[in-house]
Order: sequence, then C-alpha cells, then structure tokens
Amino acid sequence: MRLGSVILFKNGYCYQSYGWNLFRPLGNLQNIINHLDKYLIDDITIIRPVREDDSKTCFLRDIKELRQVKSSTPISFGGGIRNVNQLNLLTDLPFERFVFSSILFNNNNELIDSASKLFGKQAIVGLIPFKISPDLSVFNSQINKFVSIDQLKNLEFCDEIILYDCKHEGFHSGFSKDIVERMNLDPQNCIFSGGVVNLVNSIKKSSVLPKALCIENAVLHREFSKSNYYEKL
Amino acid sequence: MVGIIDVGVGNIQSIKNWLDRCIVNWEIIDNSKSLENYSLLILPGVGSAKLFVERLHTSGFFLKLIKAHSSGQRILGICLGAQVFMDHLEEGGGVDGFGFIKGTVTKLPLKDSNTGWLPFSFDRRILSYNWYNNSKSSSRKIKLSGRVFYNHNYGLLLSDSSAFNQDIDSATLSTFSSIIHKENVFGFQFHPEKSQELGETLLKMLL
Repeated sequence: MRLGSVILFKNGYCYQSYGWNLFRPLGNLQNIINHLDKYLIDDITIIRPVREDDSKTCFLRDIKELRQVKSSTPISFGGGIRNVNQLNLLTDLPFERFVFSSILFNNNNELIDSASKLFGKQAIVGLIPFKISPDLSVFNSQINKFVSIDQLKNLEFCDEIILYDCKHEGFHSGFSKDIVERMNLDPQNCIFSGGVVNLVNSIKKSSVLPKALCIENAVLHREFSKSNYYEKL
Repeated sequence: MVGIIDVGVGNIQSIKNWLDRCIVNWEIIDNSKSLENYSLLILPGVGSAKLFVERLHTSGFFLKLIKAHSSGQRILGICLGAQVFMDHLEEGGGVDGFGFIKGTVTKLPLKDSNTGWLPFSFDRRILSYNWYNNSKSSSRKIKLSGRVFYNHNYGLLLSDSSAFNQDIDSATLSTFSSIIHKENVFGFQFHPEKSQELGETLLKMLL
C-alpha cells in the first residue's frame, strides 16, 4: 500500500484545510515538495481547491507555476480541469497523473476521451469529496454544493478514486470507511484521504484495505517520512 | 549531450528535471533537428499508444529513429517510449512499433493499472558491448537495488531470445518485462525519472 500526501494549491500558495472551510497557509509549493521528496513519500497529489469561482486567469497562473515544479516523486494534479482546452495546457506539466472531480458529475465524454488519449487511462484519477452526517453526500465543485451520490457518473473511467472525507479533513482521525460499502466500491481501487493520520498506525488490523492512504499536507507530519512509516504498513 | 525527443506528448519536463539532478547536458529535439551528434537519445512516452505512434510518424521521428538505431546510436525508451521498441502494441485496436526487439505489448492481467512501487535490482554487467563501449558513466556502481515507480496498463511481453529481459518483481506480473535491452536499445517499463534517488543513480550508471 502506498502512503502519499495531498497538497492544496491555489493562487501560488499551499494550504492546509480543516473541515472543508478553513484554510491555513503553508507557503511556497516547491518548498513543500522539497520536504516531501526528502521524506521519500510514495506520491504527491496537488489539488487546486477551486469551486464555481475559478477563472481562466487563475488557472493559467497556477499552471505556469506548476510547470516549474521539480520533484523526483510521482505527482498527480487536479482541480478545475473542466474542458479540453484546459486539458491541452497540461501536456507539458512534470506530472504523471491527473485528477478529475467535475467530470464525475456531467457527461463530458469529449474530456474523458481526450484525457485517455493524451495521458492514458492509467493516468486518470477520480476525486470524490464526501461527507457522512448522517446521510452520505458528495461535493460537486462546479456548483459548490453537496449533492446526492446518485448524481455521480463515469466512475468506470477512473483508474483510481480518491475518497476525500471533507468533514475530517485536516484532523488526525475520523475517516469514514463506511463510504466504500455504501458506494459499493472496491477498496483496492480507492485512495483514502481526510482524517487518515491515525489510520496509518492501525492499517494492518483494518478490514478495509485501500490501495493508498493520502495524508492532507503530510509535510506537517514528519513522522510519516519513509524510515518511520514503512514498518507500520 | 543527451537528446530528448519531443513528440508533443510525454512528461518531457520530468525528464529534464531528472537530467538536471544528475548534472547531465541535454537538449530538446523537435522534428526540425537531426538526431546525429547525441551520445544518447531519450524517448519518453505517456498517453495512448496509437496517438503516440501517430505523432512519431507525423513528426518524422519514426524514420529518423530507425536510421539512428541502424547507425548504432544509443536509444533509451521510458514506459510507452520503451513499448514502441516492440513489434506490436495491442492498445486501442493495435499499432505497430519499431520492431527493434521482438515481442508484443499486451493488457496486464489486472482490473486496473499497475500503479505503485515495486522492488527492483540492476546489474550494470548486463549492458551490451555496443552500449557499454559508448558509455560515459559518471557512476562506478556495478549493482543497484531498491524500488521503482510503475504506472501502466499494458506490459512488455518479450519473445526475442537475443535480447536481455528482466521481469517485473511481482507475483502477478512476472511474465512482463521491467527492463528490455538489446545492442543499442534500452527500455524501462517503470519511470526512473520519478523513482527518487534510485532513478538518479540508474541514469548515472547507464550514461
């Protein structure tokens, strides 16, 4: 099982987010990546936490900075990739995989086909931000609203799916493993994120084993450097 | 000087960063440039096989690389860039590769892709005379072991007894190759440029 890190990146800065609404600035993207490289973390997922307010200018500005990223660790990137024009701007990024969320709520087959052709199916990762309180709902970033899971589509196009627990984001524990059963997903196809720090310590005893765990901003958790966490996994 | 072949797809930026970390001089080769005068040509590959081979043809690189191969120039393929060295790639209805090494590229026997880290070892003594003779390696290491990063849906199935083959170190994927090597051609199924420190040492051993 892999142990990765999620980095939230917007307007040139990285953030730690708590409970899907409070942003704490962490600093420069390259500095954060340098630390994670040093920790020998398995992979890094960079997410632009954009909602319906995203603009072309913001997207281009972020892409320009992302193009300069230097890292020897595999990187996935997503957030605000909503049409083929935006997709074509990603071909020279130093990243291997691309994360899509809005695509899971609409029938943009052109975007799915183009992504598969340009990057290969192995490069397509789905992102499902969710909360269980007590009903399960998923976040559609394009309309900035939690909606019913019935509205999810196109999961079959994703090579892996990041299940991002918004309620427990930024906290050490609380990830709702129930989601796997409720959505009838194969955990071996899923990446758990949001309140998974303590899960790393007990994963060997867990009945639900995901393909990977992604700690939100693992840069704040030096204890998850390679030398420390491998014996736990 | 190392030449990076740019067909418009593939993570060129990661390859550039990888070479920079190893303090290697490189140049991006677009379709207007000749492939001569490079000590090593790198063919990076990401995306669907059909689009990639199509781009190699339309850019003129397909014929140029065949010429470079027959003249003995060293060519290093990464992921899809290594898969096109084979006779045929099944992905997307099928497309023919260079045929530098006999074999096919077929779908992995997995529900999803092979994405993640697997154990890996390398012994420089497997390098062919042709490769080694042109080598300007900056490492004195003979053996290397650690882990490497894979991200692929299709795998290399070799049928060339004259080529070197190293299997993927995984119980379910052991029939597929991790490394293929014959004369002046070398291919990695994994991503050395994203395999952290091991990837850098590997490049230094191969140069």
